[in-house]
Amino acid sequence: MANEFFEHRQNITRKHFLGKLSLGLGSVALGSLLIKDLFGSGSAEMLPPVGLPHFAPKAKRIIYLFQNGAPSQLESFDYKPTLIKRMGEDLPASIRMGQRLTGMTANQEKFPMVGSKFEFKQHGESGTWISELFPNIGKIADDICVIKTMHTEAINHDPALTFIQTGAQQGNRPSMGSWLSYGLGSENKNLPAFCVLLSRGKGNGQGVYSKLWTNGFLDSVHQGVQFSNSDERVLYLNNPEGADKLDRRKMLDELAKLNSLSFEEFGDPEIKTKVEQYEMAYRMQTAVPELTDLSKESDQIIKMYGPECLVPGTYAANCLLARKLSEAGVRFVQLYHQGWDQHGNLVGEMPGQARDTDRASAALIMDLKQRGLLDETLVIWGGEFGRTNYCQGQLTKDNYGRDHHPRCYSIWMAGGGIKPGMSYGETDEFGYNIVKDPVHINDFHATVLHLMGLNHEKLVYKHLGRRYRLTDVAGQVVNGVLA
Amino acid sequence: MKLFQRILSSLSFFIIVMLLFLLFFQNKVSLPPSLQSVGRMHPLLLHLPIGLLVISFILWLGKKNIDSASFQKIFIIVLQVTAFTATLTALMGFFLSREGGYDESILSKHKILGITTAILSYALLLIYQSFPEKKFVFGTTIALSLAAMIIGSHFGSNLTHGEGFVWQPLKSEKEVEEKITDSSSLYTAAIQPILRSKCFSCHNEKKAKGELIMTTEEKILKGGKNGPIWKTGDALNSHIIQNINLSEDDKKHMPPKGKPQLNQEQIDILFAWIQSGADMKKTMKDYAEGDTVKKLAAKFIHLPKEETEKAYSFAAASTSTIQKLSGPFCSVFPLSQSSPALQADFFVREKFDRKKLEELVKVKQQLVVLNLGNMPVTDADMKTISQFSNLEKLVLNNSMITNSALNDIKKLKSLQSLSLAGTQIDKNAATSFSQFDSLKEVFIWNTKISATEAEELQKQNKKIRFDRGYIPDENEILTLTPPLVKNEEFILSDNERIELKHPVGGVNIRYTTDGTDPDSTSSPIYNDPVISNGFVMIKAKAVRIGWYSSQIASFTFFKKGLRPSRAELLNQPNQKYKGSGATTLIDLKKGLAENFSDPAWLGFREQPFAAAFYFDTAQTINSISISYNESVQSYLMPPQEVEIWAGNEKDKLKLLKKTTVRQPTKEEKNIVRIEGLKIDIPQSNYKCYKIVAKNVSKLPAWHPGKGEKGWIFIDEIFFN
Repeated sequence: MANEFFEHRQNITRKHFLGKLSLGLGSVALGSLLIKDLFGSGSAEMLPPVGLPHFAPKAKRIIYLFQNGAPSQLESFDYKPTLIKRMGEDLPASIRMGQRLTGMTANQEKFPMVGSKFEFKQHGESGTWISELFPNIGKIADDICVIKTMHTEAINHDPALTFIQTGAQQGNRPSMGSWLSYGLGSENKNLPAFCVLLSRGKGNGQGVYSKLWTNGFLDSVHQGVQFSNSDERVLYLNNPEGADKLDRRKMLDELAKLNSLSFEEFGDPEIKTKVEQYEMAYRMQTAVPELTDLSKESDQIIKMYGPECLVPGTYAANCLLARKLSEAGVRFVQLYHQGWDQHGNLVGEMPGQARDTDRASAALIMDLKQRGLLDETLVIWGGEFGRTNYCQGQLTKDNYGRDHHPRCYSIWMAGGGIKPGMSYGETDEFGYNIVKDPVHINDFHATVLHLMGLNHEKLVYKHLGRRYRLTDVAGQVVNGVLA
Repeated sequence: MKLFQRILSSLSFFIIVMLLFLLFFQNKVSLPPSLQSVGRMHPLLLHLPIGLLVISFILWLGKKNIDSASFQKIFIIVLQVTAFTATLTALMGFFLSREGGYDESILSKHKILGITTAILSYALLLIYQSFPEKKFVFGTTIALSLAAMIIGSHFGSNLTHGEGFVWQPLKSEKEVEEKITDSSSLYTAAIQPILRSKCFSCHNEKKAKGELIMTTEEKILKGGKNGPIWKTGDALNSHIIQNINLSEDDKKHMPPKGKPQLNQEQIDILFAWIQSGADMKKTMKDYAEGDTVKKLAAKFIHLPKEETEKAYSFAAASTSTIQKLSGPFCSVFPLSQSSPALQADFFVREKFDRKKLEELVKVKQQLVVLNLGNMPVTDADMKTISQFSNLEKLVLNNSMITNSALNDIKKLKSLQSLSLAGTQIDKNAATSFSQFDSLKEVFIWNTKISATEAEELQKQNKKIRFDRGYIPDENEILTLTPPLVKNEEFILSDNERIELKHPVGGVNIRYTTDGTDPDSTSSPIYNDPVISNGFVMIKAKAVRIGWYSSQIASFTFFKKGLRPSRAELLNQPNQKYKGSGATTLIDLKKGLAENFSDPAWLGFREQPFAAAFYFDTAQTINSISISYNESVQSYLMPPQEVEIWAGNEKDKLKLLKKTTVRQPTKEEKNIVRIEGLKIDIPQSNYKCYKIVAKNVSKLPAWHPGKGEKGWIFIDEIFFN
């Protein structure tokens, strides 16, 4: 059979062979038209293109009120009467379960539990427990969702801050705002997509570093833009004396020509970013002044936020500016308020810290709500971890301190698709461990991205050979807090 | 005819190669809609190769009865058409498979067998054309193709109308296809389907092996010959689990050998479900997130996608239209990647362009959200807006509209949310609100509608939620913030004056210059910038009716005066607080009171402060000001005693003045501030000045460090 087969084939002429060959190649060619990215660098899975939400979002913008230093959840949103009843008792090992301690308390012999010196009350129809330090937030209790079971692995500020801002304890990853700027872009092309406002209270402060709003490996266009705390909130924005807008425009055009020559020669993408930033700055000249001009604020606004809102550099002023920026389409506004690290003198320092943020945070929610913007703006208030239920240092009748505690802490969220008027999660009666519904930092990030209309597993960026995402390799959307 | 035949053969070859090529890149293939339609004709065309293969077989069997010449001609044509239709069907089938939505396992079997059939059909043609005498080869091949075709089409029909289609009327149970959602019970969603597929065939009404019927909840709980088949909470001792886990050869093993067996996943979930209580009613959502049973069940159930996108009835606008409508001060974008709905935002009031708003009419069907907050839109613009028939949310905060605007807006049938905060709307708009079709919420903060009027509105329109926003509490009195200074530096040049300011309007600043606390009623009100004659401490507070006065802010100013050309330290400062040596005292860099470790400060403790200052030419000096840090709790005290020496040479100095300085009292123990000490000296004209400031030798009794030496921290010396 084989012989005959070959003999038969040998009788085929060149004409036939070429004819069949052309047929075959032709069909391959026709078929290849149907295949996208046959030789391209496209990834095997079809990932959605960036720039628009994956599905219809609830929130279009975020304002993140970050309380730097870690406010104590036991004096704010997590009411633990057991700690008051058992004040002074040593923390049982069965509760502590070998949690690693920071260097500050590792040498303590005893861990006396201490309850909150500040009273707790239930607020609103939802009956949310809030301490007396936050009366104004108590007034908006029916608009917020308190999550009591946030948890992290980090026990010190730098890794914890990096974790909650960039999704991992190691640095050099893009921050939340940068991911959102990358994934959704800026709604208003005249303002940066990601703005950062800093303020500082009188309590024991920890630093904030620009790596918390870095763009990581994403384009540097996505870096957070830090506003200054002087009267001129964006420094050097105005044209210098003697130069006007036309001069500025001519200068920028000539500069762009030079930069494009440079780009053609070197191909450095940072050059393009620089040109884009110059153009953004030019547009900001028009867009920013109407936002930072505080001279026309009505009495109602001043009374709502408190008179501090007119003093640049204060938390209240930052909240007011945040509302204006968000109203003007800035995708992610991040505030940092330092001073919450009450290792000691908690009774002395925390009321001041609370006073700094209480009225303005509540005012922000009310202000967004009355303008009809709260349903599309997600507001988050919280820190990087919680504080221990036992006292650090000397426990006296009138004062105590608390060390860092990663296993459970509280934050609250409002607006943008969050179910209002509820508390999510439960901690044990000692306020040490989580009993129900834990929310890990990765879960928190997944939920935030979900509210913004992004599938956290699909917003990726390929870097160093693998795909990175904000939630890295974990994170599940917490359905319980969604409206 | 011959040409036609050749074309058929070539096309068949062409299609097979293309199909194999596309198969290789299966997942990357994306089909344009035209080819998707072609794919959908697969069920249409497949009848041809099926019929033709059967005919080929029959013809070939009955070959004897036809003369060979005619048979050859006819048979070739038949085989060619069979091959062509088979390959074309296979290709269309491939296109159809790209649409998705088919059961993967059945699909892959059907696909493989279908393609096999096509290739074998083409092979048949080749074999008959080249080796017509090889009956055995041909016979095997045609038998194989028929087999592939029959089995393959069986799977194909399963894809189309599900398994057991033919026998279904004969089955007694008519199951209602219940739609599985989060509120379905886990039993119905995950457990029952397993039982249905593996157990019901023998344990039903018509055939009840072991007297066990499993088809209804009642009967399954009743059990069979050996009693109930499970024990709630105790899976290990439940008959159903035990029988499943017996060796397959065991007579009692369930399902019996030869019948479809349970796979591991199905066994796991049955175990877990029984172990957790065998609750037939508990719904999916009642199970906690991390629950084992729920996680196992998830593998069986396909819950509908969480976010059910709102379906819009209109088509999407083209991307180029949307891009043209966007501009630097106007953003138009879809609500999400696949949504036809659009949102339009306008930014920067001074750049508002009415034409851009009017251009939006091009997408008047697609616009769902329109944000014109802070824009100078008027009632006239509402004519344009009323054309956006599908608009759901409209933001008009701080715009220039009045009541008549609502006459146009109420035409919007889909409008649900309307923001009118900060506009001139008043109670006369009441009638308009009730004429809206779908309105659900209206924001009326800062409009002319009063509290009582708003209540009336709410009563009359129960379906709408009116949000009045924040109303300041009449009884709440707030405290003003302290006044601020405009000057950037605290060292004044010769003609520079001190300017105070306060951001809140209508505030009076009451101030003093003599170091006493200002009084809300009697201290002078700040009107003009203040002139200073050297060192001055301003204390100021903000006052306004209806507000609590602010805390007192104090600012210490020094006058620059004459700068010595050189300074020399005669005593060394403490090691830790050396600053940058003697020049620190004349570099015009002031330190902060809170941070005395800043190198702007020089700290002295063991030895008193002693420094000499040289001028190139003799200067007339009237006073010398010393800037020092008073932080009582940190042991930083005013100098106890100060001596001023002067002369024209360092060795020949005369004592000009000696003063003692007031020390803080117990009440002032928390002071942290920069203090100035201005010492007037008799008018002198010298080149060289020496200043000695002795630190406190014994801290007072009330001080925590009582009896110890105090510190003196100085950052600048000024000569006026």
